[in-house]
Amino acid sequence: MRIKTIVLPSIISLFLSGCMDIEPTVLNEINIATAVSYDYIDKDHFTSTAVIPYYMPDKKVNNVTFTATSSLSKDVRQKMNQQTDKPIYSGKIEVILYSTELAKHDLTRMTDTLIRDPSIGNTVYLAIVDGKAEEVLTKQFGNVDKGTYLSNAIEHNIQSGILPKTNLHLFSYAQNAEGMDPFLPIIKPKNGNPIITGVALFNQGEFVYQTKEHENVIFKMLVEQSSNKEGFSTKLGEKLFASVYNISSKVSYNIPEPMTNSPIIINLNIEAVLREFTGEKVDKKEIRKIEKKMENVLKKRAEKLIVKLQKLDVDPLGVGEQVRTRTRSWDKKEWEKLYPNIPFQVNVKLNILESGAVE
Amino acid sequence: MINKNEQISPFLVFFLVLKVQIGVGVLGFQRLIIKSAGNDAWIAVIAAGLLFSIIIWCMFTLLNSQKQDLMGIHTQLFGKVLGGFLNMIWITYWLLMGIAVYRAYVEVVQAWMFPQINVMTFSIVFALLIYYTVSGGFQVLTGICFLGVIIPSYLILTIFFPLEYTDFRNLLPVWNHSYKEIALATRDMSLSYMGFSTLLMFYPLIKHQKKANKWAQLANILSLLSYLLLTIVSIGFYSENQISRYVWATLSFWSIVEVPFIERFEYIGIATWVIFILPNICLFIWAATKGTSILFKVEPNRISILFLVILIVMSIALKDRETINTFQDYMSYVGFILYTVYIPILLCLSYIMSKIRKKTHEN
Amino acid sequence: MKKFPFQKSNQSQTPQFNEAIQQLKESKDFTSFMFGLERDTLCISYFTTLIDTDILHRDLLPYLNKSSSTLENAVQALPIENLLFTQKPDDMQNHLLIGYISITMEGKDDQAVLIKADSQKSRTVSLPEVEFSVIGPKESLVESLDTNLNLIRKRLPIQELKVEELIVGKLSKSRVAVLHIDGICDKKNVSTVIQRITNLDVNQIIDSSYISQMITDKKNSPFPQFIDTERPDRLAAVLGEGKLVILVDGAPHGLIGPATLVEFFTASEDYFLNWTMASFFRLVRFFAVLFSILITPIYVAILTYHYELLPKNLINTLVISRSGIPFPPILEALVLELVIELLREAGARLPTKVGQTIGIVGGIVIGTASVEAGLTSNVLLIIVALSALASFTTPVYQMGNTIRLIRFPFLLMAYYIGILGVAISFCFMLIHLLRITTLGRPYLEPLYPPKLHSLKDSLIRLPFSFLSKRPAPKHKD
Repeated sequence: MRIKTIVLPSIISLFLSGCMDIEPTVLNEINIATAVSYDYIDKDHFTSTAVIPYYMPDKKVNNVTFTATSSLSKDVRQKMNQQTDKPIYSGKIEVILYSTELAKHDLTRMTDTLIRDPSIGNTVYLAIVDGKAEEVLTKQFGNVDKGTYLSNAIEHNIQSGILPKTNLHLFSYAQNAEGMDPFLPIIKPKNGNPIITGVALFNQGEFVYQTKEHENVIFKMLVEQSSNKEGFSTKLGEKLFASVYNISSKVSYNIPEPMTNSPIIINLNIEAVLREFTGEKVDKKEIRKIEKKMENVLKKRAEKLIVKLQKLDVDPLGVGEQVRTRTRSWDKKEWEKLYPNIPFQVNVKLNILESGAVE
Repeated sequence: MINKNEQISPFLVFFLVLKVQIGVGVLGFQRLIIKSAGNDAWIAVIAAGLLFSIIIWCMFTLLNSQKQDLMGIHTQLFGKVLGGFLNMIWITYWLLMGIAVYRAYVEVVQAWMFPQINVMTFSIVFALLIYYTVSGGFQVLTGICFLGVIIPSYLILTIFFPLEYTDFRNLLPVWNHSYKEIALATRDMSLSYMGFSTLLMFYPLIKHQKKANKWAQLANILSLLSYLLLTIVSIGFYSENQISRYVWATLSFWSIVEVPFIERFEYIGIATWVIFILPNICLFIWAATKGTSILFKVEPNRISILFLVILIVMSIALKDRETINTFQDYMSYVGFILYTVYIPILLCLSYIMSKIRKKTHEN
Repeated sequence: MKKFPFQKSNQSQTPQFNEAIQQLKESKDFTSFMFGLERDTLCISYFTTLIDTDILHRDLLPYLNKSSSTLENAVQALPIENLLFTQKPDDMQNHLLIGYISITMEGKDDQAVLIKADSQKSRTVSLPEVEFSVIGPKESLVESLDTNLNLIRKRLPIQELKVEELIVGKLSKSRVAVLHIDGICDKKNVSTVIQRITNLDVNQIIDSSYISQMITDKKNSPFPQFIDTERPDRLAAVLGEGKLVILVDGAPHGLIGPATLVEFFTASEDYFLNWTMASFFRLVRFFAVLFSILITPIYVAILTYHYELLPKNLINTLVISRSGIPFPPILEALVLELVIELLREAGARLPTKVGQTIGIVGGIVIGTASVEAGLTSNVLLIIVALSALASFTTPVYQMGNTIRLIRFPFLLMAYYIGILGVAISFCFMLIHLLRITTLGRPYLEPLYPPKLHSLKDSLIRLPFSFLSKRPAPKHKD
């Protein structure tokens, strides 16, 4: 007993005298990168730019960027560290941007390092920049740090805008899933201000197509159960417009004969609220008319989009997954052969619940 | 013989069994079973659970008929020399299991938190913690098992966060794999359920031993349910190829969890895991210590110090992931045989022996 | 331990009463005089400083039979209820020392009468200061054991309330009373406590806290194992729950044992309030304690190692608050924690009025100045102050001290292995708590071993209708 009381403290003091060998990362003695961009140089090299916010005591934020060129992203960090006063850490990266050119040359290699690194969270946003990715990061705007600004921008567009849910995890999910292709938001810098313009579609890791403005809403509806504040408008007749925003939309698949050339039916149920109407009076009949008209427009848009996707041979909607979960011993190769030629039929059902505060 | 104060009430067996069944394996068992059984992995989880329900029943039948711990059964059935040898096998198994669990945890710490951590100093700290628990006696051990279930139970709430990204269609089509694949997954899954063999040692310390079976079965069912829940959510959350790349799938979906005051929940999870696995390791070390002290009649505290030194040395020696994996695979293989082959055989033997003894008694 | 030779010198031979009185006469405040009608037959002796002279003059002297020849006859007419006859001079000395008057008879040196006449000079019963509650009884214990016993007996007028009295301390000869209710309290506990108290080999017992430290199961544990209270109503209440109570003469505190961890977080006010509020306040207290222990170490761990854990909006605030501070977070935290301890200690040593000033000076002036000077970050200042505040929410004073003490090992571990260190120290604390027993009972009861029927009055307090059964049956067999 006596021995124990002497030995224990001495052992404790021995090992606690600082040989745990952990590298401390004291908050104000490191540089925390919040956003990183990658630009294409040639097949093996890329330029990487990191944004590091410097918080000023007067609550202002200075975004400082560091750029380096290399062939490995960890190597890049080394080169950036040579330029800074404090070591750069990547644990709080919010957004990672890739230029379209880089994205055209397989992103798989780039995302692999992100998944492997446990300090990078699964909820990081990936995005494609239409043009040079560096441009989005180098220009100072507003009084916030760049990473937070971009991630907030993407986040609110997911919650109530045109973007379907996206992040590193979902990207890797789609990349690895057998019957699905990933997509990422696409950003276009305009005078340095980033504008989210649509969705970039990938074939596995390669960027192939950028959605047009009129495709965005229907794309989101087809990808997931969504609610959307943006809404959509239609021309009902001459000088007669109606605009609604959907409260909720639900997509369901009806595949009577999977893995054959028979048609796949996609049912889209939308509940919406009338927001704008240039006609004179809204009554039941009128609403029915608007519903019908809009259903037709949406159906056409959806079918057109799907045909386009088939032509590009990408499957961001995950139709392959729908078929796979309906077939035993599914064969990926066979499906890839089938996919471009399957006829799709989209049934849209629009239900206008409210017509606003007036009749 | 046994002090009444040392004994525990039978319902605490529930926590003892539950605690050893849900251990470090929870962090990454999904990869193993999904590799072979894909979206049908959940069937393997149920199958393995039911298998172990039978084994628990076997153990209790054996113990209830013999009314003593494994050490005693061995010496009674096989005599001093052979029995002693078999005892040594079990003692080694428990000790190595303790080390395997501990090393697996250190590996998680190394991979996620502190890649440069000095394994030796960390092991010394942890060994002190284990010694402090084990030397407190079985009551303290049961206590830490109990708290080790209660305190980290808040983690179950985190299962709601990944649901947002979960697609349960992935479970379809049901039974898309061959029996062989599912059997393979069941074997892989059984590693996660193992650990309650320490029951063979603490059986005499239970107050109303006959009632304990019920609680052990209940614990087995609860761990089955929690594994099932985790498996189903994981199947929905990850695509099949994706999960095969994640060594610690549970940790990866904790990084989805975000609350206003904390992000990157996996770090909190790893810290909480200390309380989660400490009882596990302690129980194994305790069983090995107890066995040895009965076998060689040495003071238990000295043996536990020796074992802890072995634990420290072994965890330094097991350096890279490959050796750790080989070690763990080997352990799970040995464990599987011990549980599914050895225990039933022992049960049969003890049954036959008791019959023979009865006959000779009658004659 | 020093032996006091004069203690046992009398036992070798049996000196006569005369000699015993002569011995005591060496003290200036000892009086002994002869009293009698014809010849001075009766010898009356006492300590003038210990007795109430009123009793001597009013009740004793007028009624003595001055002409009798035997001691029995002489004291026959005394209007005093119990007269002690003793044959042992030793006994007489001891009684004289606690305020008795002795009467012996000249020539008959074999017997003495002892009459209790001690002066009850003590404080009157006043308001509880440490455990003040807005509602509920407002009496508190005083230094006199008899008054204290009276306060408790008044609340429990039953014959089952048993009081055992022991004398402890070679110098102080303190009266220690062990109270329990027969049939509710575990007999084993009573005998253990009495055994432990009788076994004590000490010179002085100044306060009940001496006893509580000396008879605990784990003497090295920072966790108190007896509840210290100044409220007689609380004592009476726990007696009914099967606890035993130790009172020491001269101490305005009673000890309650066996005390489990959760009982240190119950205040008597919990029973005066509606159960919803009482439960809420109890949960607040538990939360406050956890907060108080963990928040500073977690802050140190996160700032030193785990910046990833911080939400993006918080990083901003923290970086600004820490910018320009020349010390690592652990040093900053340790210094601030020590400053808080300093303030508390200074406040406790000074008279109330000055103490308040110290609080204000420390809290506002030093705090603001150190933040402005760039020595500490204001976020940490808030955290440390809050955790100190939280530690004061415990109703039992000792527990608050414990909580403030165990924060330091947590802090150091947080600095060494980050958040893992916090978890490991938490485990150490849990195991320590599991290892503690109070009078042989697990300290964590009813949390572990879990007792469902006792949980009704532990972390929360259910309505009285649920509590009709006692928290735990204390009868064994």
